[in-house]
Amino acid sequence: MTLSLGLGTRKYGPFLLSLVVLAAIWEIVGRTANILTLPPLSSVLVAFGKLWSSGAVTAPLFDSTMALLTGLAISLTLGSAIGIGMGMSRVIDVAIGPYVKAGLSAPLIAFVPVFLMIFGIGSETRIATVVAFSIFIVATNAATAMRTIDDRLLEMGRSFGASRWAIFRDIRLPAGAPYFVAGLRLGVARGVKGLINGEVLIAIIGLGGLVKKYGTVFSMDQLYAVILLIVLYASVAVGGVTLLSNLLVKDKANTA
Amino acid sequence: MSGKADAAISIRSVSKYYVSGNGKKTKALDSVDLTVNRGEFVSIIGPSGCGKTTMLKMVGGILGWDHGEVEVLGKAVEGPGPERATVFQSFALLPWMTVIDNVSFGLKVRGVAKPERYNIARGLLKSVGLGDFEHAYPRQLSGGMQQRVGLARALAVSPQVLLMDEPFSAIDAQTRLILQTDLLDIWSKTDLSVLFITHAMDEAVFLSDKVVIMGARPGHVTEVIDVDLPRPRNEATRRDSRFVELTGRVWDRLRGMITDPNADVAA
Repeated sequence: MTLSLGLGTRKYGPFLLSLVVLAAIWEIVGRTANILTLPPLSSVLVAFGKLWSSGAVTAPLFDSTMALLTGLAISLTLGSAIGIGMGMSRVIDVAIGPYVKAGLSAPLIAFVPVFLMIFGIGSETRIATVVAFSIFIVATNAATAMRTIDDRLLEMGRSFGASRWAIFRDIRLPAGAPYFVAGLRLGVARGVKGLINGEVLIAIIGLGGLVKKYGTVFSMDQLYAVILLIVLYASVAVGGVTLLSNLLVKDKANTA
Repeated sequence: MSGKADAAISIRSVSKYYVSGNGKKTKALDSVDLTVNRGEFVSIIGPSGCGKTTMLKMVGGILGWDHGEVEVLGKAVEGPGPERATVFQSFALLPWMTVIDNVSFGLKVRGVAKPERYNIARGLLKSVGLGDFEHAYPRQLSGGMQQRVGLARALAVSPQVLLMDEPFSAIDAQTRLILQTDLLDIWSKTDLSVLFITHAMDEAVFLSDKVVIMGARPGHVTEVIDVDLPRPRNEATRRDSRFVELTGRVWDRLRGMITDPNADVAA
């Protein structure tokens, strides 16, 4: 117990310290400077508490999460399929690889107005944004998963007469699992960005909609409270996936 | 050469070319003949680049050739088959699977139901001395133990022909000697025909009925040495003057190739 506490302090101590310092500076500057764009932390926290207890964020939070999960599900299935194709077939890689590479680095937010025109100001638009932000990284990692396979394992599979499907299921997929998991983690991080980006531009739905709502009326306490919520939301989403994947991987590694 | 009916493996006038990236055609095997009779243990030894692993892969059905014939149990090789199994130099175990799942891999691929394949796998794990390790993962085992798993996996599919591609070359010298004796023990209880690739002269002589010496560029059979050491072989065999003499003969043939300044250029 003491040991784990000690390790925890060493691991998170510096972060906690910087957090306290930052919070103190924010509070002091907010109080003394008295400028509209920077309310003191304490009033932001009060606003956060009110938002939370009043239930004003409950519906948008649920709403946004459903859209995020839908978008991620699409990205994972479609992106994995594209990536597996790219990783296993040179023709597919040459044919669609360039688009995936472009999509990986392009400022996809530029497409949101297009999505808006296609899907309207509903949930479909932000789902499309989530997909656009996350699908390319999922595909890239899936392709890497297929390409980094140890040829000697494939040869072993063939020598035992395994069919192409059996080799895929029993060797390629499990061997590529760490890359798929990395793709999922990065996909979730990018997906959250896509979600909020989309919602801010659509302006009336979800957490991004709240940002727009409080921002336009200069309700700074509430604006910061929502931003704080979004940052926490993203951290929890990515942290959750990381934890989940660690559990999955560690389970295999540590079993005696 | 022995009669065709007795042959477990028959390689006749086989040649193979490799085409490199720049389109250059290189002869890898030049009209090779080799016979492994049923129940026989045959080793191939030779310098790097003599095509010994290539030959093993051809017999295994995962690599083609250009001229000649390769037959296993009287049938032309057209791909991998259930009567053959391979033990690999790199072990080629699946790291995410437990030992028992690795041993059952070949059976799973053949559609054997789980309880039955586990039954078979357990029996083989016992016979290779790993009865207590069925739930371990490969990385928790030493190299020698991992290759025991590799051997059990190959034996699990009840092959008639066992192909071994430098199986002990990644294993430390002491463990290797133990594995050699254990392999002979297991083999003597079966009617397996074995084709064994190795770099180690003492290993080839200790294990085999015949040692096939190959030369490189292009790969060809230089000589076949009959090993007339009595079986069962054991630690005393290694001190037998006949063992020392035969190992010396193999070395004499190989030394000539290795002192050739070009001998270790090929991959």
